[in-house]
Amino acid sequence: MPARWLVLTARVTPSELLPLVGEGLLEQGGGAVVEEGDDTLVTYLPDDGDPPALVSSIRAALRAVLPAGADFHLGWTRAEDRDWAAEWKRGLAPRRVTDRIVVRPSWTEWAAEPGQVVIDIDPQMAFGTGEHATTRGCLRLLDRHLRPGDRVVDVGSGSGILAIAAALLGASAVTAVEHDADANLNARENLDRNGVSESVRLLEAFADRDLLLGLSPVDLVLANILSGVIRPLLPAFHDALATGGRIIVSGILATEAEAVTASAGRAGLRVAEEDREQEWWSALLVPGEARG
Amino acid sequence: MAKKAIGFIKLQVPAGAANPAPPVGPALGQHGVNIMEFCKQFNARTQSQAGMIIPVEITVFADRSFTFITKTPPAAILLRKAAGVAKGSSVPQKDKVGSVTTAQLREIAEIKMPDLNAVDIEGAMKQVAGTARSMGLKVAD
Repeated sequence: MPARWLVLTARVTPSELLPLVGEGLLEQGGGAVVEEGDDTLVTYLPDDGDPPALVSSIRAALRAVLPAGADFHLGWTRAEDRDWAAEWKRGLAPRRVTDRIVVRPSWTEWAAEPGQVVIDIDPQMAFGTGEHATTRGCLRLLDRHLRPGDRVVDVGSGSGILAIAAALLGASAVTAVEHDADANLNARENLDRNGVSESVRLLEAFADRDLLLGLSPVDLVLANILSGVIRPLLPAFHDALATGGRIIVSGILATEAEAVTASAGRAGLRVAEEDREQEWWSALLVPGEARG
Repeated sequence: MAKKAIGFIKLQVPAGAANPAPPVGPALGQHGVNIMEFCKQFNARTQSQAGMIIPVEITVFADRSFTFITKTPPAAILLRKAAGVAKGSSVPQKDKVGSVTTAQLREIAEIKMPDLNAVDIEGAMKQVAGTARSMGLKVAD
């Protein structure tokens, strides 16, 4: 993340033209736009050090998108980067996800019972805290199906929470694959915090077939991403498995479960166990024909 | 009992691509919302519409839980794509660089129907045609 942001505020009338300005701001590098009132849009861009020049070029680009009669203004201010999730984090407490697994925000206390695995996570701007149903679904399946000594690959590892859990539950080797550099900064801290930096290898990469086959044989694949990312990867997951291998998938809406099950079937995999929480569906997949 | 709403946030986000960087982070963070949870849900719900900009309206409750609804893509953007012009006309009324057909207006009106306060498809088409005019687009068959 940049240290400083440029906050752009655009105003246009008639308001029907607002979407064109929004689209223009996204084309200029904004990640999203916030609508304020009926005629104002706000976005953030990394501060390149010369805002007046940047803003005037963006202003010209946006004017070119708009009809001549449109009343259009573009203003800017600066904002320091900060932990936008601080307010949310204040309310977090340790969570007992299964009898054995507890996820503890790093600034809270938990008196562990014998045999309990406590995962210390500092929830930053990476996917994977105990506060999400998909993470909990994966942890529940992981608790039941990880075997000591397993070779594990965590695809889309985010904060590293699943890779850490696998290592603490007795995996012999864990590879965490994540392409987002910011997430990996958070993951490294979390690996250190849990004392598993030696047993978890973090790869900054996009997971594709070649990468997955290069990591083969794998006893357990973990993938908490999105159905649209997971479905095309299922054949590669299947082919990377060792004999007796298993796959845990999550990040899938319950409404998508049927389509993912069908994709799994085409990849030579069947659903051996399901986990549902709120609108989310997680599943354990194993090689084999679906049982009629 | 209905939960008490404490915030209402309107965003436009590329389908399947919400992330916690600004402006999403500050917009949601100031209400104490779980930013990552919103991003994950939004991306899961909109991933099939890749390439579109999705308006989204988020309601935040006193216990910091939230709900959100996604809207149909903005008419102006659907019109610009239908007209096949990279940019809107810079001189409306006089220099009409782009045009859309009645069939395209109908198609867009059908997409927009859930979000428009039109009683029938003709009414929706009139609203879409109004947006086309304000963009400097001509309706021609």
